[in-house]
Amino acid sequence: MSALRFISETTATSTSSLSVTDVFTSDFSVYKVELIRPDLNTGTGTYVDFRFVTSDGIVVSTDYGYGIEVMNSNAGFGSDLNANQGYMRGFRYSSNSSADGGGMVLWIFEPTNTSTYTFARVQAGSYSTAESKNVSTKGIGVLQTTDSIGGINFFHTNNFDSIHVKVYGLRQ
Amino acid sequence: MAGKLVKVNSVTSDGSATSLQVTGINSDHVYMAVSNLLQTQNNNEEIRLRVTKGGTEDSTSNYDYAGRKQSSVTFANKYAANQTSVLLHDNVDDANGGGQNILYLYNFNSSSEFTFLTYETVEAVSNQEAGSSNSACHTVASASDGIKIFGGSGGTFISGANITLYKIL
Repeated sequence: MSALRFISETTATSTSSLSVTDVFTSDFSVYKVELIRPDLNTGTGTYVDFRFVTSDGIVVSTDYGYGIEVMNSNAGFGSDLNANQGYMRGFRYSSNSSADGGGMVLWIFEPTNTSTYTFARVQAGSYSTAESKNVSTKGIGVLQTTDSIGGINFFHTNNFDSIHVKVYGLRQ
Repeated sequence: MAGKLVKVNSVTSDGSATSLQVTGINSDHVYMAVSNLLQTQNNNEEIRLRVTKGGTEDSTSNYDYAGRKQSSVTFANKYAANQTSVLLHDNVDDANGGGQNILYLYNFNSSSEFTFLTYETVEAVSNQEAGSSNSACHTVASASDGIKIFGGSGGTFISGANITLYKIL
């Protein structure tokens, strides 16, 4: 059996927010989350961001800090960094084409540990047909509370035509 | 067993460990190591790494590393050559979980090539949230069989601090 253990697979359509709940438990301290080709209805130069979910719902308090490198194939590297936010930065999305899109991988550390923060490593890639460029994002995010986290929420200002999420636990 | 992540070795601090070491690299596969709760009693402690050869850390001045620090307040380049260890985490808080990382290990088993690793980190720092994306190289053409992680100020890892080594099939 692989040490990377499949936990759940979730798909949804026509929604601007998808919560994948009850996937982080005391069984694992480290998780891998895959966001597979989110297909947004519209939006250029916008972000698919994420937040964590507790038993009380989505954590929307301004306790997130993140630092993301934004790298463009037509030159022009930048950074997006913020403290005290209500979300973590994820995946830069542009335009709506059947061919473009992309994907994102998150490594989540210590989500259910009530003595620590919850940590995330982010890596994503997307292609903007409207802007003719590939955009990579890579960086970190931390929820600066010791809440026990059970799930994750992906959201955007516009609807996803479709969204697909897989969650794995890493056996240590 | 093709296409799986196979656990090779794992070490967890009982609250008295001043280093965490995993060995067991004995094939030409790519290996992966994951660490979590790298926190000591020292605030702003650096967390550093050395490779092991025959189970013993190599502390010679043959480590190069380069990467990019990412944080909620600033970004910066981090790099050095001919060091006695790799800078894994710039500094970690003495609370809230310390540092976490993912490492990929390349060419460890080769006796005729340098030893390489790539690593990504995220950590709690007292005045920000931070992490980095990096690679490192031990510029000695000899086989390495593992890695050792330790605090730059000799700190003691909290109970539960862990490093686990996997072979990627």
